[in-house]
Amino acid sequence: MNMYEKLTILTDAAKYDVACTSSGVSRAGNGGLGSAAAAGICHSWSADGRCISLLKVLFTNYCSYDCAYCINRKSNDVPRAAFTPRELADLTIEFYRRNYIEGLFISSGVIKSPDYTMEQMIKAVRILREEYGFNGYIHSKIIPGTSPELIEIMGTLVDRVSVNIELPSEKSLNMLAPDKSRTNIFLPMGKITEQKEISARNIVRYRHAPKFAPAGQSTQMIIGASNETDFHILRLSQALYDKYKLKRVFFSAYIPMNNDRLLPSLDTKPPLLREHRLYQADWLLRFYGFRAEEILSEENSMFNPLLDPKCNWALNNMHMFPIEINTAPYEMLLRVPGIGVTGARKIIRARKMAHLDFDGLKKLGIVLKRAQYFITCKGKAMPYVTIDKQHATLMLTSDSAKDNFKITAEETNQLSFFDMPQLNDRFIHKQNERMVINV
Amino acid sequence: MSELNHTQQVIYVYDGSFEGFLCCIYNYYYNRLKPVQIASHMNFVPSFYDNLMIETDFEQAYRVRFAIEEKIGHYNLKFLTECFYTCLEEKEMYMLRYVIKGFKTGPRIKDMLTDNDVSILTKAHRHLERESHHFLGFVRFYKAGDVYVSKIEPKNCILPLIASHFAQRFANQQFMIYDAVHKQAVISMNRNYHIVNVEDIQLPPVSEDEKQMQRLWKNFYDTIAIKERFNPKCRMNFMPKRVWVNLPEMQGEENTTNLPQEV
Ligand code: SF4
Repeated sequence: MNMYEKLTILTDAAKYDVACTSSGVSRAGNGGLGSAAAAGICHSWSADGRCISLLKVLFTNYCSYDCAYCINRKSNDVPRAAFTPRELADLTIEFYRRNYIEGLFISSGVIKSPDYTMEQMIKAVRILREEYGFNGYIHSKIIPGTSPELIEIMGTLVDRVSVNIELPSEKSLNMLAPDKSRTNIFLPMGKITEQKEISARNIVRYRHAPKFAPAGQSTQMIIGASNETDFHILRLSQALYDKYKLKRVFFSAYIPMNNDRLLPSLDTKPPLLREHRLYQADWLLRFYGFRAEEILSEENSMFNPLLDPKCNWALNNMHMFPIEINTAPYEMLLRVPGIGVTGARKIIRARKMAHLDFDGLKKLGIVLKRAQYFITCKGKAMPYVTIDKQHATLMLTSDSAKDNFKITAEETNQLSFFDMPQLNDRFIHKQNERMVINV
Repeated sequence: MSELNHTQQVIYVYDGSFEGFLCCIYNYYYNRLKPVQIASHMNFVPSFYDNLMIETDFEQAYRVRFAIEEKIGHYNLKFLTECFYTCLEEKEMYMLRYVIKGFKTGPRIKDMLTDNDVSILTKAHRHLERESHHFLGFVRFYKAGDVYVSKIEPKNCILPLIASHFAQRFANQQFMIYDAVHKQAVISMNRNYHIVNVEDIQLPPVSEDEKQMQRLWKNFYDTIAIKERFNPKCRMNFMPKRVWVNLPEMQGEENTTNLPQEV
């Protein structure tokens, strides 16, 4: 089999893995080949609009496990291939030298045993780091069930490690990934957290102590293959951030590949909007100081397809709004739909120099489309805007229809669960007034 | 430097260098001539205004640079130096007004984001930074002999901002990145790099071996996309069509909004 065919098979088999970021570690060049940039660098975008940063391949797609959702499971009849450690290392170097990629993302099917598989992956990474002096980014998957010694070795060679938790609950995991177990996943995850802490302590004591996975650990789970609620998934992510200090939790909308009675039927569309909402909420957890319990609840356990989680939260907490742009604290500015971290910082900077009005906000580059229903400038709402829950809900939900997100068929069915706000007389009256003024 | 009563309106014509521009500022304060435009001699179009040719004098440039750093601060000096690389039209006039206001306000000028000049320059600068960051990814080398060669066509003049990243990363390889729009190239060898102005240059051809490598890369590119998630609009947002010509993986790529036909 030539390299071209191998690469096709092993890329095709790896493409459902979501994490492709190269962020989280900054490392200057060492005079040899390679460096890493903290913000991460995207080198290209594939036709599905996802960033390509790393050479993302499986070491091999031979697998002795039989996970129901996976294209590479042993019961599937698909073309199989395996790199040799050297082939993979050489390919990485050639691509890297041409600036096609930031580095390597290596994962694998399970051959013989988790440890045997990890040993092969370690060989490839060793050639890169030790033989070629490669100083670029490497992200390695840890196969569930890998022994702690191998995790330790891999962790000191690469920038990021991840153990996939695969499914959002133990029940689903037992059902859909019978060869994996909760313990097999959480033990390595805990080991990584522990190892990172040890290495952080050592570095304080002696500067040249080896760094363990400096870009931290991440995980991913499949959304829509099993029936957990959004609230459940969000709370799980929160717990992973809190307990295991994960850098990222990735979600991947389930794409049916196998006909299996345990899984949604083959014609199910991937729940892309749901995945998108989860990422938005995840963002709120990581950068905006939200807790999962503020965003969803047992009673209200699914995202509103028509509203992003922040809008949804704000509308349910209308008693906190409007806030005054010129005096509100930073934390409150961050809670306004449409104002992000950059926007909030700019407001803080600019309002020290001059009182801000709506024109001023526009000059700062703040988009008022959503924010206008939640703020005042110098005590006044934006002209023609009433700060009112019903009004805002109506305007914001009709806006979301224009989002370039295609809502899939199943998701439109969910829409009926949400009561559309009723047009009331007062509102219609206002609309008419507005039209008259505009003319 | 005090406020002057400028009476006559002219166009400043300078040599297009940053030092030349600093001399324009010098002239603004020491001649009683207010510019309506500051034009580089390269893109200067004659008009009914009078011209004032600004000679580049390093002594003057140094004094202005020093004054900016003293009065408006190091941050703003760096900011202005970089603004000079932006593709903002009439950037010199915005920058002159920024400096004038800066001498009055001091370092805090950078936070006057509701001021028109500050706001426009800040946005142009942000655009430069973003484009620079994107090109850290969009540069593609091909190997010609011992040298790795790349051609880019950015909107802003980004080489001064990105050169050191590549020089560090590819410390043990010789490379050249040629900016065909601004006629500049960075040439790097053993971590030492130089940015040079180049007129027309003939880039070496892409060898057969190299084409093989590009095919391998395109193959990866095509395979990694998930067809159930096809979203060319999103791709276009991140990777506008104008950068495609220099990306080997985008050759022969169509921007259709339909799914590719299954075979
Ligand atoms: S272990 Fe499971 S998910 Fe991983 S390749 Fe094998 S079958 Fe697929």
